[in-house]
Amino acid sequence: MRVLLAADGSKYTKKALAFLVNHESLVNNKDELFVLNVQIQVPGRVRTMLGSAEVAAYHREEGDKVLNPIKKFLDKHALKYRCVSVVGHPVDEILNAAAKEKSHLIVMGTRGHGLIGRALIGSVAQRVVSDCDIPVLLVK
Amino acid sequence: MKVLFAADGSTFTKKALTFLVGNKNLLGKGDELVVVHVQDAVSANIERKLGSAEVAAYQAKQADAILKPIKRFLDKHTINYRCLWVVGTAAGQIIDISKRERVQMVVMGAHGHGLLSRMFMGSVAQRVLAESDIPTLLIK
Repeated sequence: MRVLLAADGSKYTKKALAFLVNHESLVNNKDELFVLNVQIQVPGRVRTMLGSAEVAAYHREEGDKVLNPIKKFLDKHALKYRCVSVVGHPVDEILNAAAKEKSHLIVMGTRGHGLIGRALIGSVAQRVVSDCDIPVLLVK
Repeated sequence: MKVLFAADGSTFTKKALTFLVGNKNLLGKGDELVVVHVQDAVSANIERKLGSAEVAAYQAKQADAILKPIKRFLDKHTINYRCLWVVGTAAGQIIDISKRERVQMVVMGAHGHGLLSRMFMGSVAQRVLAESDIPTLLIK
């Protein structure tokens, strides 16, 4: 089964990873795990001020911060995977990647870094569930 | 893996079943599926008027109509399952039973029979996500 894991580095990402390796049958070696991290674009003004090279480096660095621990974790559990960090809007990028990878399943946290802890379910998860036709596994 | 499947007989129930049997690594040997169907309670007024025996018979008939095709389908695909149905509030019962049965994952439709089904996600799915800590797979 082709699984897309949307990772933002929050504690829910950790829980989703733990769930995946605990149920290895979901992503055993012949299956493919695609880990996607989406970096939110810095505002245009900031980009102009810093220069796009600087901004690109920043995004890369932030993406690595999220993906490196995940890589280490998955390597330790001998899972086959691919990792990518992109810049854009989380919902759009998750949906794009799921379509491009022909994923069978999207795994993500019910909530990420969002501040509104009261919200029953995060806005990204909410929109992914409502906008896409692929089954979504929400972990919390 | 022990999986709870919440079935309301809507189109999502069918899609969820197809997904579950289509991915053998979700429900293989040694895995167990608990199919749960929740019948709404009948209001006290109506129950008084009809008599509780009549109401119970009606609910049993409704539940049977929904569970029978599911049983047939799961038998055909030789899935290890148990079916049960209860009367109550859908979300509350799904949460209670998932805890009691110690399931590792809940599978349900992103929305069921509800009218606002085009929007976001159903109220039952919302409540289950908000109140339970078990990973929840939403099917659309």
